[in-house]
Amino acid sequence: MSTASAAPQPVVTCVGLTKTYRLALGHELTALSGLNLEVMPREIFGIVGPNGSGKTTTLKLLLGLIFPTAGYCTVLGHHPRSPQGKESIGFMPEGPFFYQHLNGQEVIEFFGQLCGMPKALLRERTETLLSLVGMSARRRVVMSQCSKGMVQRIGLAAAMVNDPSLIMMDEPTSGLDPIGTREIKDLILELREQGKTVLLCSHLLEQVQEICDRVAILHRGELLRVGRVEDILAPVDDTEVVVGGASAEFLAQCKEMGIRIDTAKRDPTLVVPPSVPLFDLIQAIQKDGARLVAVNRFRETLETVFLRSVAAVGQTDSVRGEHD
Amino acid sequence: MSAIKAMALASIREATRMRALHIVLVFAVVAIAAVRVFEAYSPGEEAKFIIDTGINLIRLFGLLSGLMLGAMLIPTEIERKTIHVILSKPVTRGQFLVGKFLGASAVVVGSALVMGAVFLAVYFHRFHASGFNVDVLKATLVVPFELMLFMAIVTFASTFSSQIFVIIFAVSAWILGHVNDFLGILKGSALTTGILHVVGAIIPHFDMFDLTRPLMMGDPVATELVWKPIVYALGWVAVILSFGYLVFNEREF
Ligand SMILES: Nc1ncnc2c1ncn2[C@@H]1O[C@H](COP(=O)(O)OP(=O)(O)O)[C@@H](O)[C@H]1O
Ligand SMILES: [Mg+2]
Repeated sequence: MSTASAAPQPVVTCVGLTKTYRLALGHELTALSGLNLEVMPREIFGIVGPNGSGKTTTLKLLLGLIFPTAGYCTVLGHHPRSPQGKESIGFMPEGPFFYQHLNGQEVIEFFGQLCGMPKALLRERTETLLSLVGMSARRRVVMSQCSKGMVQRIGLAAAMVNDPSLIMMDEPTSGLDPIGTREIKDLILELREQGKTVLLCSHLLEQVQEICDRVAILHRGELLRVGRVEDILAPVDDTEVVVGGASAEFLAQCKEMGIRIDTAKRDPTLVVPPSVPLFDLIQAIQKDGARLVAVNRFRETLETVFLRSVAAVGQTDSVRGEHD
Repeated sequence: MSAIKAMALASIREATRMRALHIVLVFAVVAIAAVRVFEAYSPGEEAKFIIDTGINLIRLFGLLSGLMLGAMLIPTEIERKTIHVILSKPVTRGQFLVGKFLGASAVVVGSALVMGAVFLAVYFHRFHASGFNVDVLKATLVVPFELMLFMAIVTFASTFSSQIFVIIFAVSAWILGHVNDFLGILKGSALTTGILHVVGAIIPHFDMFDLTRPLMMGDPVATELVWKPIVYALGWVAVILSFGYLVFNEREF
């Protein structure tokens, strides 16, 4: 219609999206507060955050399964409850569980029939999907006898039966072994190759950073950060030095030099800024009688970004508290 | 339309593979066939005994299978998150509800028809000498409609409550529905009479479907006694499902 097609329309829009659950005894819980978000076509977008941060709540709002307390969202330009919008959506919940007595093929066909797909097309589509998710040979296994990973695969196939342009997944790798996780990740990357938009939620930050183009970090229903993974994981010139058997004095000395010390691991890890000459540090380690275990280029992960962001929020909270 | 059909067919397929349901059906058929064995206990009243016991067994086992199906109708779908995936497809909540109701009803009505056929076979085999009593057929015919109405109540309850409550709610409604006429004639204070009137109005009269009484009396069963409960059942099903839809449409999962 319009020639100004240069700016692509967002696939998902959330404006001030808020959800407050009413609990027993008049208590309330705000699971999501004022979320503003746009997911663009053909990107893999990850909503990340620890358990209870409001990820599933966001997806349910987008699917019209629950209704916002304030704000609104649109999916493919439609209201979340509009059936038109749903013609191009696929959803895979966390730990789906389908009709016990139906086998994998029947489950996929059932969802295809729900979408009103003609028989011949559905048969062809089911074949394609079964082989895509690696379930061709196990199509006759009834759901009650499928492993978690098999149910997950069938769930993904069922979500994609109507060839949706937007696929939403809640914790797609939860409960899967490393091989299953790798396969699901490869499938997600393949979906992007096919030009699909993927919106996924995960508390497994490491798994997500590898495949997502952009992520939103949620914490207690608040959006902490949103952006491209490369931008959030800004390149850092720090070096990680792992030492064994270092004395307390030595560690104190390091701190004075502006070195961060991560004691979470078995051996203390020194995060050394570029201002500290590495060679001098290594000599100091030797002098202290400590062992040099490893020297690595420091790599920031979503996890460290997340921990830092949460710490920053905590700090502003306490500062505010002091003023009150 | 295709969404309702798909929902109904999947429910039927899922239900017909439930082992517990097979057991109930086999048990019911055996019990109905065994009525002949016990007719000796009411000498001279064999026909009445067979009709009364046979038809009530159909209703009882129909009710039982209805409850078993009903408990898993919607509560299980929510528990298993199947409903999340279904409603993420172009399926309205109304289509979901109607599809579920039709599927479960089809299975319950289907089993009632099987039981009814066994019962009629037993009855006419025993009394073929005295000719074909069409009134027995009529009395058997209304039972599936009673069960359909019962399934509408079960579906309604499952739009807002858990499995156990669905069972309690539906059974209470069924029992109250049977003593409904009786409640109406109870006399008491204005308040109790008022309450009884309200109960009488909002709960279907299930005793309409019991045609064994005129049969027992040896009265002919008027056609009216057949088509009225059928129309009544269909009307109530529409009303109950509409209310169910109103509740279900606002529900959060
Ligand atoms: N139906 C509900 N009723 C009440 N509280 C809920 C409900 N669903 C989720 N919550 C609460 O909302 C918060 C966010 O939940 P959720 O969106 O499921 O988190 P996540 O998916 O990020 O783990 C949690 O504290 C959770 O306990
Ligand atoms: Mg979740």
